Amino acid sequence: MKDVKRQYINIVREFVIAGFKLRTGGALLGFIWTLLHPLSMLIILYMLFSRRLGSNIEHYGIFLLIGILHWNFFSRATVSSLRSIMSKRIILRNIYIPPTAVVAGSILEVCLSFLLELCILAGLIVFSGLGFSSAIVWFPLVILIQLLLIGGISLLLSCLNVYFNDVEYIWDIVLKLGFFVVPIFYDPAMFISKGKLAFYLMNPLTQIVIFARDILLFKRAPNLINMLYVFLFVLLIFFICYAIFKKFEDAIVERL
Amino acid sequence: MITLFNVSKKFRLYQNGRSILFKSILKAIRKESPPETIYALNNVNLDIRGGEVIGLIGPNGSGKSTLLKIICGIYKPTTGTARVDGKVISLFQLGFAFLPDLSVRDNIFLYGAIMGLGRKDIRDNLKKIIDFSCLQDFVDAEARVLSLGMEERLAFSIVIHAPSDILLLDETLTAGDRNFKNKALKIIEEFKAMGRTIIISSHDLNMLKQCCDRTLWLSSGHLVAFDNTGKVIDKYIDSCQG
Repeated sequence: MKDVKRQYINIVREFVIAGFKLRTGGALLGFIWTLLHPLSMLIILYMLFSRRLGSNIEHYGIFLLIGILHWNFFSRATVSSLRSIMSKRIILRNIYIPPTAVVAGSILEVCLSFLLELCILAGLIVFSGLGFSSAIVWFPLVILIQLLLIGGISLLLSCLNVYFNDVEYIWDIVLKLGFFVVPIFYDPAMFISKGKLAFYLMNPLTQIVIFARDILLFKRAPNLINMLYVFLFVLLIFFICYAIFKKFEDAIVERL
Repeated sequence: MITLFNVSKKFRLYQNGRSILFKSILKAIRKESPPETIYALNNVNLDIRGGEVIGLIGPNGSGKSTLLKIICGIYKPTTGTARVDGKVISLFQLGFAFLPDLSVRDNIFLYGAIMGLGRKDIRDNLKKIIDFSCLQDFVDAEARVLSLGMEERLAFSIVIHAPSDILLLDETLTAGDRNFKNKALKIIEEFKAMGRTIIISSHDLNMLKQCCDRTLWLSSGHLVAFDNTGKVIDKYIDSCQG
C-alpha cells in the first residue's frame, strides 16, 4: 500500500518535472519567456481600463495582476489537464498507471508556474511599498481551495474529452465567457446591482479572486463565512467529479 | 502467481473512437441499437507459478495483447476473475512512449518512475541503464533522434532495473540487434533463476523455443493449448500450414 502511494507520488512528480522542462526548456530564461503571456495581458488590460474601471481602485496594476494570475492558473490548468489523458494515451494504453496521476501531474505543473509567478507578484507588492500583513496566513488556504476546484473540473473534463472530440472547443467558449464573469479587471460592487450581486458572488472562482485581493491588496482577512461556503461548495464539486471519473476510469483506458 | 479463472473480455466494435457531443445526443434521441461486440478473450483459464518463462503465440487479433493487458491491470476482465500476486511490469512494442522533445536522460527519469523506480534508484542505476542500452552517446540528445531499435533497448534496459515479480514482454525483442537480443535473453535467464515470471508474446518461434519453458497458444480469444514449448509450437506450425 505504502509502495503504491510512493510510486503514485513519483509518477506525478516526474510528470510535473517533464512538463515543466518541456514548457520552459529547463532553463530560467525559458521560464521568464513564459511570463510574457501574463505580462502582456497585464499591459493590455492596464492600458484599456486604468483610467476607466480602475480609476477608483488604488494600486490598480496589482489589483489586475492578482486577477490575471489566479485566472490564468485556473484556465491553463483546466485546459492542460483536459488534454492530459489523450496526450498520454500511449503510456496509459501500455503500462498500468493510475489515470488520476496523469491529471494531477498536469495540474501541479501549472501550479508550479503559478507559485513562481506569485513570487514575482510578491516582489512587486514589496517594491510598490504595499507590503504584507498578517492576513497572509490565509493565502495558502485560498490556493488549496483553488486547487481543489481545478482538480474537480479537470477530472471531469479529461474524462469527457476521451469520449467527445469537441469538449475542448466547448470549454474554450466557457473560458472566454469566464474571463468577463470573473472580476479580473473590474470591481463587481461598481456596476452589479445589489439584488444580483448575491447571485454573482456564488461563483467560487469569483470568491477566490476576491479572497486573494482581500489578503494581498487590502491586507485584511477574507470573509470567513464566504470562505467556508466556497470551501464546502468546492469540496462537493470535487467529490462529485472524482466519483464520476472513478466510475469511468476503466472504460476510459479501453477507449484510448 | 497468476491465476485466471474463466476470464472473458468483451469489446465494442465501431464505437471505440471519440465522437462529437452533438452526434451522441442525436444517437440517444434516435435510440440507435447498441453496437456489435466481439470477445477478445473467451473463458480463459490459466495458472502460472513463479520462476517460469512462458511463451505466448497466436495469429494477429487472437487476444495476446488483451491477455497481457488483463494480467498487468490495464484492462479489467468483463467476466471471470484475474488474480495476480506480485508487481507486474509490462513492455509493449508499440508503447515505449518516450516523450520526443525531452532528453534521453529526462525520459529515463520519467519512464523509470512509471516503472516503479524512485528518483534515487534511477540516479544510482543511471549509468547501468545507459550502459546496458549502449546509448552513452545519446544521453543528452532528444529522444526523437532514437531509432525504434534504440528505443527498445532503452525501454528494456529501464524495465530490467525496476523491481518486478512478473515481466510481460509483448513483441518487444524484435527491433533490437542480435547482440542486444542475446544480452536480453541472458537477463531473462537470470530473472527466471531469481524466481521471477516472464511472459513473452512473439512471432519469433525460434526465440521462444530457445527460452520458454511452457507456451500458451491463443486463437480467436480461446486458449488452444498451454503445454511444453516444443510441443505447442510444433502443433501451431502444423495448424498454420494446414
